[in-house]
Amino acid sequence: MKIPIITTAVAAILVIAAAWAVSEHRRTHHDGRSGIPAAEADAPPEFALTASDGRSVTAASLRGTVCLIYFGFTTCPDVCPTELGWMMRTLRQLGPIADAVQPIFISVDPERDTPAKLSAYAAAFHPRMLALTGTPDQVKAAADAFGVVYRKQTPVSQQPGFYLIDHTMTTFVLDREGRIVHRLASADTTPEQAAAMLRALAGGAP
Amino acid sequence: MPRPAIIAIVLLSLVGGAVGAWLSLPPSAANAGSAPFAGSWDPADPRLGEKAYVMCQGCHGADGRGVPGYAPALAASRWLTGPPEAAALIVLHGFDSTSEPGSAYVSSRMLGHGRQLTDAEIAALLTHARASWGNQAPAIAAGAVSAMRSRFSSRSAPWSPAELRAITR
Ligand code: HEC
Repeated sequence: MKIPIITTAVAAILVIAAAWAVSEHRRTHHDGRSGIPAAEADAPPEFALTASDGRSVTAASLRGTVCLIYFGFTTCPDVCPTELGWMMRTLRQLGPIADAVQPIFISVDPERDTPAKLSAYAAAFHPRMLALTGTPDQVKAAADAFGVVYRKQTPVSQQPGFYLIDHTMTTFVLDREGRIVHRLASADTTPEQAAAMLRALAGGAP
Repeated sequence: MPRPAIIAIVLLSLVGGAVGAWLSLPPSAANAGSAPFAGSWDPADPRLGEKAYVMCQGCHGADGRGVPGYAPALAASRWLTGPPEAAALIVLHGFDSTSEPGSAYVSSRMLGHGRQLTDAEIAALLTHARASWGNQAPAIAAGAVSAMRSRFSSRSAPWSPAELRAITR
């Protein structure tokens, strides 16, 4: 039996389309593959937020420190604890160098994530974790600066005020100049690999 | 079939698989395939149980009261405060009572957390939950969790109530 050339051509076109869809999806959703540095041209993301202890924290105030930044919300069922647990595991891998890295959680749920809830949540993960939030506009601006998208889901429970939030699940690594140098996720980078990347950034003298 | 067609089809299925893997799978399904990374907390931390419970609070609530229609309360939960084996297995591999007559959770089940938590972390958070929100069940030792993990090492699907009853009978 002979398959006409047209079948081959169609199959080839499908392959190319699928490959494009993958790269497009990764570009827009997953923010790239683990360990691949973001484009050099990326300008440092700017933001102005408030820490759970009331301090104001801006991109500028974090310059000079290597940061690990994750966006989420404290009633996030699975993804946030998993990614933050992975972040903590990464810091444990770093040993003493971990002190030179600032872990940061940014809440995309300013409506429900009060400073008290944020403090307790951050403290459960790491004693030095900074939990940031702000007005809905400030949070939106910060998310935009990182290319993070978030959206309330239709409620899955009748409980009043209950909703989940879909959001980008990327952990951003910022260098001392505040540039995004890695976009990571627990699904494709081990804590050991992430620790090696951080060691390269934070290992030397500031 | 001519060789190009075969190659194209093989490529297509490879790409198809890759697309599936990269698209945002439900978080737990995605984790199930990735390398485990348990051990996020200092095992010597006296507040380990309380801290590691952060893995559960998104669904069961910081107050253990759950969210009606979404996740059950852990306060006064018979599964949580009953035999340590059942509690450990629920955390390791998940829980699915959707086949039970009268289950309040007909559309949601719980996936396992065995890949994100060490045996010591599971024991500590269970011990914490078994002594919180009015619960008064005894502590669970890490060894009891390890025993379940190794006895059911090939298990990945959530447990049904009937299975757990058979194991703990
Ligand atoms: C993603 C949401 C989610 C997370 C996170 C979660 N659970 Fe669950 N859990 C559920 C749901 C949903 C059920 C009910 C499943 C069913 O009955 O089919 C459940 C059931 C249970 C039960 C049985 C309760 C009963 O009395 O019926 C226990 C015990 C339990 N979970 C403990 C835990 C512990 C401990 C953790 C943290 C390690 C945890 N869960 C994390 C969603 C979750």
